[in-house]
Amino acid sequence: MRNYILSITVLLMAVGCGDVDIKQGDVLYLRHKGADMPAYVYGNMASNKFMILLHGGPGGNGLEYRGGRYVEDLEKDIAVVYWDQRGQGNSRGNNYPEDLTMDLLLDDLDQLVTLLKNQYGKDINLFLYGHSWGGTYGTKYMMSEKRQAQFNGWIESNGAHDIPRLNIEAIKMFQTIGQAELDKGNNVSDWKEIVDFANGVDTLNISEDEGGQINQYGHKAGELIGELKTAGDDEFRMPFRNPVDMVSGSLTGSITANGLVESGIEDIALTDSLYKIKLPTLLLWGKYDFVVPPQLGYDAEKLIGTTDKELVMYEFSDHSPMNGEGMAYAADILRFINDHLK
Amino acid sequence: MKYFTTLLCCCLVSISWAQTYRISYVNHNFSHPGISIAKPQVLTYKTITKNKKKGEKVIGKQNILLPQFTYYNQIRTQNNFSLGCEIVRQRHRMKPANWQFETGLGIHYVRSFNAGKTFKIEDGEVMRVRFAGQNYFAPSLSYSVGRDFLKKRPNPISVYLKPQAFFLMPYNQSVVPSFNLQFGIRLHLKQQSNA
Repeated sequence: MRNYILSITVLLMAVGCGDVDIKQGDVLYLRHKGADMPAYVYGNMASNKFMILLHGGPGGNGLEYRGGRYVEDLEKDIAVVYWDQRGQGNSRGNNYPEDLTMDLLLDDLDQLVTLLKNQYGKDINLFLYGHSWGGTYGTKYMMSEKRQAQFNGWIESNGAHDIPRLNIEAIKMFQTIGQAELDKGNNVSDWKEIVDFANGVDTLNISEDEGGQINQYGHKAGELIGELKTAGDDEFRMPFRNPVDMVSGSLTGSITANGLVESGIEDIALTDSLYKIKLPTLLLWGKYDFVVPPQLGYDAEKLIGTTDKELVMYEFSDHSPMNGEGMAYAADILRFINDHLK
Repeated sequence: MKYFTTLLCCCLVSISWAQTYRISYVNHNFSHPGISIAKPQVLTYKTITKNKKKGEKVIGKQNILLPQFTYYNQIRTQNNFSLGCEIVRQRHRMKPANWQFETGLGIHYVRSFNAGKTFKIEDGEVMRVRFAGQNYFAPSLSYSVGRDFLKKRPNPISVYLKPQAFFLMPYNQSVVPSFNLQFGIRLHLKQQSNA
């Protein structure tokens, strides 16, 4: 019995102790309009190079991106600001759904930029990075020239800057790649389900429910592609090592996501406005991203209003190239950042 | 603040009548470590003796008021303090085993402090906010299993395992369930106490 008690105690303490590595870096909370939003700053702060990371979802959190080799490479050279957006991750407060508008989120980011420049100096090199939903958020932010002026560059990774177009392109990918996989006899029952679904969708009139289903099938389709590189064992991250409370984080994250959907984020279509972005831009995409298809990356490469832009397509990745091709991913980000310093 | 004051008064009054301490290691939401201290006060107590073929069976039944203070740390994120009180129904199998089973219903005030500097920005000016955090009201449900390993008094220590569910409100415009697992000891300061 004594050993049993001792074992339980040791297990609980081990689970509760968290990640030692997490104790380094700065934690800054931004209080704005009813929310306390944490920004975890890790990496080489002395470099004067800072990259704000806009996480995906909506409903995700910043620190879920802090896992794997690519982060080690990034943090050796630059400081990464893992920020939990309003109502997501470890952000807390009593912000009500009726307040949850895109304009409010943009104001939040304005405030974060002011805070970082106050804490680390007005002359810091500041880059904005957005993945998936973070790409929607960041692209929307970059629609203003005044806001662009705060940053040295914009990095969009698999960014959903046009959700209606994203749904249409995902259906096309399900049909073409799905049919090719069926012809090869790969994962026949799964692909048949996805292709049948895609064939039944009227792309001129995609409902909100169908949009959600496309997202789910998009993740599933990515997993079915055999050519993808996946995260190695060294990149696996235990949820216990993330200080985000998984229970409250996932629950309030989904509530916030629903609030944002109700406020109309599913209708955000910025393809025709991409010319407004005059800032140096790096676009990072996975070739087999069924969630936010590569066509959005090609559109952005063509339409963004600067000549200083580049699209990198990762041949063996889906929606998260940082997991499968992390070293190349980090190298591309660092090259872009170091080429665009003040 | 008025919740806090009321609960603090209840706790102080209860503590002065307490016969037993309960101290436990807390694991919050399977991730965050903490500690909890409680001092139970027995409200009602009765014993039932039954003669069975295998021998005498003695069962104690108690209603207990259980004021408790809990701290848990969400690493680099929050320090959380909770002060509350539970009404606990205890069933104590004294003979032949020495097991205690408890079901509890409680209310708590939870105060969290941001584990980092908090700032707000007004008219472009960045200002530090001291002692920033959130306040929550939290009803709770719990079930506890405990055992005395030494059957004869004076017996200073027994152990218990207590899962406890909280419902934090208001939390990001919602009610959020959270879970504490307590693994603790009871320190019996008076020989007749079994609370």
